[in-house]
Amino acid sequence: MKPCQPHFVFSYAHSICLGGHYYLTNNMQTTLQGLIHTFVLHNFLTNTSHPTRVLLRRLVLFYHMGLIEKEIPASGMSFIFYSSFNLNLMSILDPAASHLPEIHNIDGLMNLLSACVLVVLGNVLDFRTYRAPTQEENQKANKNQQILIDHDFNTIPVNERFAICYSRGVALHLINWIRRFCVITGPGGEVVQDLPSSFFVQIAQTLISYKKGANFSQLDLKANCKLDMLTRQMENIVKIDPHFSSLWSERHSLPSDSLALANQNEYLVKWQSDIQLEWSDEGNIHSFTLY
Amino acid sequence: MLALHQVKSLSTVDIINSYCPIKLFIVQFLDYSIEPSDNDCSPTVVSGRVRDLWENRHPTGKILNALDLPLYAGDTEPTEYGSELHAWDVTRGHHHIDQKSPYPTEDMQWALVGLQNALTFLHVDCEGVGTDVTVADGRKAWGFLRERHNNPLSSTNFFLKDTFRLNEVLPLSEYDFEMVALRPGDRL
Repeated sequence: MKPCQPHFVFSYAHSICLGGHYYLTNNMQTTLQGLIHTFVLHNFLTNTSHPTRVLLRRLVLFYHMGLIEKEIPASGMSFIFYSSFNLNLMSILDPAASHLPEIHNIDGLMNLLSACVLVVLGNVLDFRTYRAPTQEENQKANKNQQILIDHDFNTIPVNERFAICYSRGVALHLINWIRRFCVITGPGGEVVQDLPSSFFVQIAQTLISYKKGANFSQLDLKANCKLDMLTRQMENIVKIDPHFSSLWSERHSLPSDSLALANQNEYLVKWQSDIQLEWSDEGNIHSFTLY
Repeated sequence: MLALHQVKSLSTVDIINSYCPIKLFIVQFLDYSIEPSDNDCSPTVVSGRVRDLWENRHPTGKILNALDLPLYAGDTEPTEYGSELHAWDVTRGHHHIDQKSPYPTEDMQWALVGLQNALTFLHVDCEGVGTDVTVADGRKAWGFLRERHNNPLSSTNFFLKDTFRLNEVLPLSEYDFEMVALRPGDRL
């Protein structure tokens, strides 16, 4: 069952089921939609909670390793070995390579961008960001707890906050790589200057307007994440990238009610020769251990 | 000791309850025998033990549904369809990730045990995950909402519209449903 699939379940006999959750690279756009729907409409729309963000972070690191660091043989790595009488050519294809985004078409590129957007918004889309260390879920903060929250002391452990920061940096590195080497043509045939930024800002402002709508419909009354807190977190996060920041001031020209790129099938993607293969600057890597 | 993932039928639950520590597990159930207040679609959450499922299997018993019974002993080898398992495997020891960090099996692999007539209203699984389910024993019906072209799920208005309901379909509702009946061995 794909992400963001509304469903109901009826047991018409006593039953036992074995199940599992998974993330699929090819479904990252619907993962983004499903995650934001269940973040905004939490108790109204979903029935369980699983802390699985670490997996999204690992996926973005995986994409970075496969697309920029070239750590995963994607097109087959050939090598020669000698047997008693024959020279053999073997081709090894890491099965993980098939889980990298297909960046040469708009659908694959948007899957990559969606994963990056989710990881950049790691803190914003985490309920623990909006709770003080001693505050229970869905309980109102007392005076002391509110002071802690106002100073960003929250329930996310310090080591995980480091992991979130690091992964955000990797996601931004991927975004910069797309900006630098990917030429995207829009529905009218014009070159789109900075699709990653416009998509990020669209999602960011859509999230805030969605929260307003949920407030108006009284569907998120118990949530610790209030509209003003969400807006403050969002305004913080757009400052981390100058392209996001400058476009944020012009956000009203972008859609604010959709979690998808409009007319996506009419976009075309072209990469500038093979120069991107040489772009493997990892930036500043600090000496701490993530989990 | 049997692991929970080895439980293949309710009769197995009964047998192992007599000697297996599984009966000591305290779990949360959704209890559909308690009528929610104000037409709320959220069922009452109660705590109990796995054996309570078996003891309420008769027609006048409570209608219990246990979600998210963790399968700690589940197979976490990379599969063809799970991208996150490949990502987990490939990134071990890279980008300052601890080589030995454990995969969150308890959140990603689970069992559902539901008594007859248990119903979960319309919902979306959390965290943007995909879901697979195999019926080990019994019967389940899965109802999928199907969006219409003019009312996509990517719109933030989809769930906010007055015509959207968790527990009923109105004449003006702008979506359809598809039902799938699952028998033992069927996989979704």
